[in-house]
Amino acid sequence: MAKNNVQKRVISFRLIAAVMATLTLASCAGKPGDGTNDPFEAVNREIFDINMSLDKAILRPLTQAYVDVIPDPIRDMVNNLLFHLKEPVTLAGDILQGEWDRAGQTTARIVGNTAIGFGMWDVMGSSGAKGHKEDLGQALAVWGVPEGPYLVLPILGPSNIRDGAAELAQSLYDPVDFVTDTYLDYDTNFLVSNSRTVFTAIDKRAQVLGKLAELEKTSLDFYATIRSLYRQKRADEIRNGESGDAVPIPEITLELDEPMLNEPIAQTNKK
Amino acid sequence: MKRIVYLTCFLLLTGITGVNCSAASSDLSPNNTNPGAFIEDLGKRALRLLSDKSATEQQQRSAFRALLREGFATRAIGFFVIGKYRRSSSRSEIKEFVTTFENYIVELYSSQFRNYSGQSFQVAKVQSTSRPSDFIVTTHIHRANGELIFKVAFQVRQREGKPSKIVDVKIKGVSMILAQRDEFTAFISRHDGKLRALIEVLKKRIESLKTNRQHGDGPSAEPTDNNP
Repeated sequence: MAKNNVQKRVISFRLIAAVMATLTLASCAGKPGDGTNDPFEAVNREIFDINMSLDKAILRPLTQAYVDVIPDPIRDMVNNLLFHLKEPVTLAGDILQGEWDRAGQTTARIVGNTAIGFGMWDVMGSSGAKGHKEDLGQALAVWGVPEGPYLVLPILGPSNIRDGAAELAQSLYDPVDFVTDTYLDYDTNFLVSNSRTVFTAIDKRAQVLGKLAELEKTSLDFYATIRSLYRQKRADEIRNGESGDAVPIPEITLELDEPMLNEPIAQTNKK
Repeated sequence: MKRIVYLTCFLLLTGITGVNCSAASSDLSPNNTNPGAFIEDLGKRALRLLSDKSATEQQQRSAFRALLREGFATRAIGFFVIGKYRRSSSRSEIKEFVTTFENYIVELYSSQFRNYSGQSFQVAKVQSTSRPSDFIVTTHIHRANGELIFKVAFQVRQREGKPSKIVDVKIKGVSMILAQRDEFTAFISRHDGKLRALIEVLKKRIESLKTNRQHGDGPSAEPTDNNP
């Protein structure tokens, strides 16, 4: 049984690596000089539209019901628990990035919040050791892996080659999944891990419930807005919230005639 | 280590603003070279504007527009947010765009004025950047009861013999001008590369914002955020 699982995971990992390599190669054939690093834009837009329809039809009403029916304190507990279950992944991320202080904090949080809060009360957070989130994608970024072209994943939403592949790989190696796999029977495990997925989606959606609709209303190109926000937010996460010291600051000129640096070369042969 | 740096910055800031407050008049000297003090002053005037209950909406908007022009590099930002399409558009069109964009910003933010309920801000730190003329000034926005709502960072550019200008606003690591540029250039590229299309749609937006305002329903209240 265990051997089967390991085999499955090895195959999946190889599959991801193959997909990643293919996409990276494919992206080299994209339009040059566009500046948005979105060679799959046409497909991305389609998937984005589908995701948005699914969101309006299913996730948003479900999340609204969740917010309306479940009282605040319980929703906080759910949020805390989900965050807590992701802490091992964060710890791995901290270690991979050589962030020993943060790894220490995460370890303390895991121990403290499990023992005292049962994962549902952020006891450690209240006493000053606030949580943070790390993942394999961020670790890869810190190691120097560029994000690659923008991708909109079905259901999961905005991502990029590096983070998408990392997310997939990570989902196979989530320590909590290992534990539930090993100690629970198939049906219970199925229920537990799918509940976790569903609640993660609802919990995340609840954080931005009114704002996404507002953003869509005021945006001239919602797809492009989300793309920009996602990328910038991701870069912020990778920097661990430090204000962009190493981030290239846009060169703005205050005179019309001065050339702007850090800008893509304009396509002169327009149709 | 970090804490020492922050503490030093904070002390420097409060020390310097203390000196400015006692020495200067209420007018901001055009040659003020301290980015933190520049933001502090601008912010105070903005708050005064917002909390002046005796002013009419029209007066508030005019004052806001004046403050915007004074504090922000509106022309430069306007040039920036259309990205590469600046080169393929006529001067007059670009000028029209910059004016329209400014009107749009004024209209968009004016509709939020009524949501002001005693929030305050505080300059938290000033950092230099890889560009010697630019500084990042981070401010904390607080509710009236002192609770921290969120942090806003301003990129301030200093120029020789000219007043400082804000060239970007960053919230949670998201640069407003980058986001705006991505949005606008995507829009223009889907409209045959014509800046005119953007100008027209912004004008329509301005009209609908004005109508909404007159009918009393504006966009939703201040962003509530549990994770500043």
